[in-house]
Amino acid sequence: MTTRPLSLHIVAGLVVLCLARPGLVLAQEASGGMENGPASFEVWADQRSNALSSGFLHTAQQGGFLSRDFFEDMLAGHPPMGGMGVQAGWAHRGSTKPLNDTPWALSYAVGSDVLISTMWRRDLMELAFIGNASSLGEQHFWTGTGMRIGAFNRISVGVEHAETRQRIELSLVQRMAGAEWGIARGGFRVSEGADTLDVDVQAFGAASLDVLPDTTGLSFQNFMPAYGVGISGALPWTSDMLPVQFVVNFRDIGVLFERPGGIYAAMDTGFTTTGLRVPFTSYFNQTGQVSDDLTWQDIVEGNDVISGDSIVFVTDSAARRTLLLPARIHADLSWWPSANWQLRAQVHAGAWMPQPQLTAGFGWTPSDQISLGADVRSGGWGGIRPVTWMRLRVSKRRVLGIEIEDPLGLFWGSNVASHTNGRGIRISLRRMPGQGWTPDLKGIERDAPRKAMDDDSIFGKPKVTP
Amino acid sequence: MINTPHIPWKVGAWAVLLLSACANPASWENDLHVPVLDDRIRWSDVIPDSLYEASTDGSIGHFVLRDTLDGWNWDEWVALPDTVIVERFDGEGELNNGLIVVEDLEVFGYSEELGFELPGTEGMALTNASLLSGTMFLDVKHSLEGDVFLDYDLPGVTFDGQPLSLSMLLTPATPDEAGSGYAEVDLTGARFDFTGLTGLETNALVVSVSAVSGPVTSELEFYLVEATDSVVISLGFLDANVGSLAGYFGTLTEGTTGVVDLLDTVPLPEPVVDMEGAEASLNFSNTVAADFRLHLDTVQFDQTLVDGDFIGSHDIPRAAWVNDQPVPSVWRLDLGNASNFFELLEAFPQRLYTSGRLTLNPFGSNGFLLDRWDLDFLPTLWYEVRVPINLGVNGVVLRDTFALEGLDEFPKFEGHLHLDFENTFPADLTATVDFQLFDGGVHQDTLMLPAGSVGQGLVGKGTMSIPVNADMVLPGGELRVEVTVNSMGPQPFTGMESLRVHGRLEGTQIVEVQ
Repeated sequence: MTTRPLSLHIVAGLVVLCLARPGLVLAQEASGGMENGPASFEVWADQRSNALSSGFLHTAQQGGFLSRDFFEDMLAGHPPMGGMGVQAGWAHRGSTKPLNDTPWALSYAVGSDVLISTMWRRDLMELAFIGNASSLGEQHFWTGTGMRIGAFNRISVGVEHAETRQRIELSLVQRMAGAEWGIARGGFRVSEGADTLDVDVQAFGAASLDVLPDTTGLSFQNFMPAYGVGISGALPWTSDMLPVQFVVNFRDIGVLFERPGGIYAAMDTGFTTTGLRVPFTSYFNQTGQVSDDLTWQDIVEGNDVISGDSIVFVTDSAARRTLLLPARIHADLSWWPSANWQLRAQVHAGAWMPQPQLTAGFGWTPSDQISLGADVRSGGWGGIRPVTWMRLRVSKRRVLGIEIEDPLGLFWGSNVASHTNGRGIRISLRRMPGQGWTPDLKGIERDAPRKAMDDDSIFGKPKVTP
Repeated sequence: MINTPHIPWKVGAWAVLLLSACANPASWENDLHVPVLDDRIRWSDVIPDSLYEASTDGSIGHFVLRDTLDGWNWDEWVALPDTVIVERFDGEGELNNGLIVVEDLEVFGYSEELGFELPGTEGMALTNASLLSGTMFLDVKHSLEGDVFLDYDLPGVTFDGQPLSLSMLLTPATPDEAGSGYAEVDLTGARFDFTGLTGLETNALVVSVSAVSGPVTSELEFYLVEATDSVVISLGFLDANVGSLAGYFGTLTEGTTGVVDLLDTVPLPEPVVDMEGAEASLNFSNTVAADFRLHLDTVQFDQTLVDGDFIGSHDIPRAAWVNDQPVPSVWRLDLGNASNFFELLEAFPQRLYTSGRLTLNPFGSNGFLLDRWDLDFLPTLWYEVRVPINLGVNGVVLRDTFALEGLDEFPKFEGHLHLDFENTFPADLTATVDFQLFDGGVHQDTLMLPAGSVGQGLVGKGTMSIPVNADMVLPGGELRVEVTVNSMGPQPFTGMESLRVHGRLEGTQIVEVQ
């Protein structure tokens, strides 16, 4: 594995960078004048589906015999295209103090992500869990069904403007492992009298492995990391006249270069049958003719009339591919109608989500040390769900944040969680930018006008210049 | 600040693994309805489809026996025997005795017609021929003392319209050895004109020879042609195969015999066939512009001779020949007329034997030279027997046995194998399924299937449902299927009848996921 040293170097670099950070921060804080910029550390994990409820998943996880009603209830609320996504990861970001009397500071970020995105047709679920008896004569569609999974490490370095807070970074992304499969075109139909079966499948699969896993298992050396480059950054906008701000963050907009040698499989086949022959008539056939038709006798005797190789193409020497990175774009619009209240709307897209994720809600600051909020979120991999969040000032410049998506979903296995469709949690620790920086534009953490009056509230309006 | 360096990058991956690591085995029922079997028993499964003509309008179909009877080997007919024509010229003939020969002097020259006759024919008079293949050689020996340049022209032999001309250098003779020369020509595609110098002859090939002396080897620089000198020219044709002939082919008689396998393998315990409307004929498609006479000596079913007016001689007129292509003359002899042919056929004989002779140009007529023959248009002697499918098949049993291995892929399957029968044969069918399990169990079922009719659009339907479950399928067994036919005497068939067996597997399987 020629790539292993490189990946080790990158991981080692990340570790060294993270270890070096606290000392650097302390040194910067100790110096007078310009101080270092904002910093943050976040971890998150969430799971979401638009079709499978927590109750369904929990029951299925418990195992045992699953009744027909159990599946029919699930299918009753199942949209034509179901999906489920899982995201987990961590990220650390920071900015130094501005360099050499310029407004530009060095910014950096490191982190890891695991993304899983699955999509499936309701027809496929019905066929798998109910069977086709209830849908004879109907066309089942499988098109669009598929799954993608990837584990990514990333590091980005760039600059951030201390006054405008605009930031641009160059990202280097390592996909440590990845796999995907999908049905580009597929269908299944059994006629009403169960006398004709039509199947049509065009599917593919790919994995960043240099050999097919066998009974000996899979070792870490079999993974084939891929690397990509992208750009990340932030484009904030704050009104000078109104207590409104708009921020666009984007991350890893770029391409991933998948080197050759991985595994790729493809299948493209279709057939229509009214059933297979039994060589019954060979008893009467006096001509000695042998039919080329596939017969049940061929199946029973194991004759190689149809070999799997003829319909499935598999190679462990896949060609080089260039893919898009799982980029993210996050737009945040905030409005402070009063000193204690905030309204916000967010749009989040990318990260293999099948549709944009929309969030709208409000925040409330009962004291200078804490703020609370509640949002409504929809899209992404799921439907409408509640989001609650809290921010707690832990020091003069540090804020601990916790955001819980679909809180009831965290009560895995209980009745209150059974009707939820996912759960998510995000924990962050943010450090406010220091002296010489425009206060944090992150809305709820930024200095409000009261800040100018020595108000240390962590929740306030954006600064309005008189 | 949180101690970020101590958080491994694998946290995300671990979290995902933890989320999915606690699964327990689960199972559920899955209803399955799929077609598994579709087969038809048609006439083509009983007899080759070349032996019957199905009716598409609902009328009665026919058994049709149609095959050629010609026992002639045309490869032998087109092969000409190897022929060598030898001519000797001496000092008392074309070779001038006493001629003083110096260089560049014509020693001798002549043009003549070479006549020939082909063995085995009587009165053959050919005017033209073309060869598919063959070789012509020219072998010359002489006693002259100098080189001789020989030109041997065959204006009646052409390749793409160009006459054949051979030039060769004959080596001088020595006291011990004759002078000689040799040449070969591939005759593939050669066309021969046998009409001679006048264009009115037959079996005549014009040759023109010219011999001019070359350098003289004697010290006197000349030599004399003496009475003992000679020139011998051998013209040979080897491995010649004829592609076409014209002229008069003479009279030739060839004998032939034929054996035809009839429907000897249809298992009919009580066969009844109604020959009303049956036809039988012997046919000759004559593509030769020559008359034939067919002598039918013997027609015999198995060991029984057929009596009838057709035993004897029959004249077959010649084909017309237009633009180098024949317009065949089709001759037909009704075998059923005034004979016991069909009576014997009703007994379901196994074989038909025939023997006879064929005579070419039985009337002579050699004066017109209008006979034509081309290998690309060979005559055909063929027979045709058409019998309406008006058949009684009482007691026919269609039987087969299948060994079924034990199936353990679907141990929790519970359902039925429905066998839908669709019968369009005009006969009642009784289907019996006997499933002998290896563990001693037995499952038997019988289905009565009413008659159908293609002409009336009637389909006799029935369904047999065989329970299929783990207890039945796991041990495996032997499946015996019998279909007994009862046609209630002769019934008209269209040839489009079929018995469809369509199997549907319907049931519930238990899907288990570990």
